[in-house]
Amino acid sequence: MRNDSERISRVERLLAVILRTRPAPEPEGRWRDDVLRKIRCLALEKEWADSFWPDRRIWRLAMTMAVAALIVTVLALKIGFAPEQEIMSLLSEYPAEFSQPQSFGL
Amino acid sequence: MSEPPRSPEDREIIERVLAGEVNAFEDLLRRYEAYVMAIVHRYVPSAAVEEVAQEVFIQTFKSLPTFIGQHPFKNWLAQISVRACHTYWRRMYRRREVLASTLDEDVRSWLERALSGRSEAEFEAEASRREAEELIHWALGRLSPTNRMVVTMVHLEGRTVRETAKLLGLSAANVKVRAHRARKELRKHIQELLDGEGAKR
Repeated sequence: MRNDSERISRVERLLAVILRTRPAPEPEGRWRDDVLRKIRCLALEKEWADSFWPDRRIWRLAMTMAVAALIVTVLALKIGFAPEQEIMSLLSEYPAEFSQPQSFGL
Repeated sequence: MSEPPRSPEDREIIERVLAGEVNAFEDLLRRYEAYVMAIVHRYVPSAAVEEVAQEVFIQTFKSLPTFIGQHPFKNWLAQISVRACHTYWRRMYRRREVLASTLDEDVRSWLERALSGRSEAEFEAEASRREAEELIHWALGRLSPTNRMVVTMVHLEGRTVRETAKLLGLSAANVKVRAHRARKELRKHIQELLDGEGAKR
């Protein structure tokens, strides 16, 4: 049993040595050119995206205003604000002749 | 006599890249390509090193605006490299491209021969052989992607739990538990191999 454990530990040590001593591949010029080409493409894409879309701050302002308008509308509907009713109730506070043109004797 | 030209600091190059001078990135690439390849080569098969190292530099370029500079750029790059290897294995396992391969008879007889070597030098002489690479893939291919990374870093490379946790983006407790379980699992597979069951599966 002990012998088994020793042999397993030796395999583990061998694995560690394999990992440590395997020679790493040398970077080639072609590989480097390929990486740089991809990076230049990425930079161009980013540049294009930045120039096409307006500044982020403008987007943020527009979105904030849209959300605020939506909230105000929802609240107004929720408290039962109806413009026509409001105007009629204001008119009803005045004598009838003020709200009816024919009462001026025209 | 004039002073020899000073090579720019990493931070200076990063600032130039961020200011839009993309070609300056070549300086970083040339400076660290061998370093990144050496890290990546420890965790992925030789055939995949170039592909993963390329991903590391692309990811680095994309993430440059988030580089704070509290720690050296080299450490940050090592972190990106290790995580790219982890991602590589997760992708491979998802696509089921990691085969639970059987070991050839010649690898098993090579292993017996390698184990009979007594010294570290004898081990090292055997480590560069084709069979060594096969053995590594056989042994680690039986672990999950995260356990594979953890057992390689903690047990085979001898990194600390804390360092491993930081490089992989896991908690130290998680790494500790995984390291223990994964090593147990690895030893079980080696036991099977030594008993002659590994080749039959």
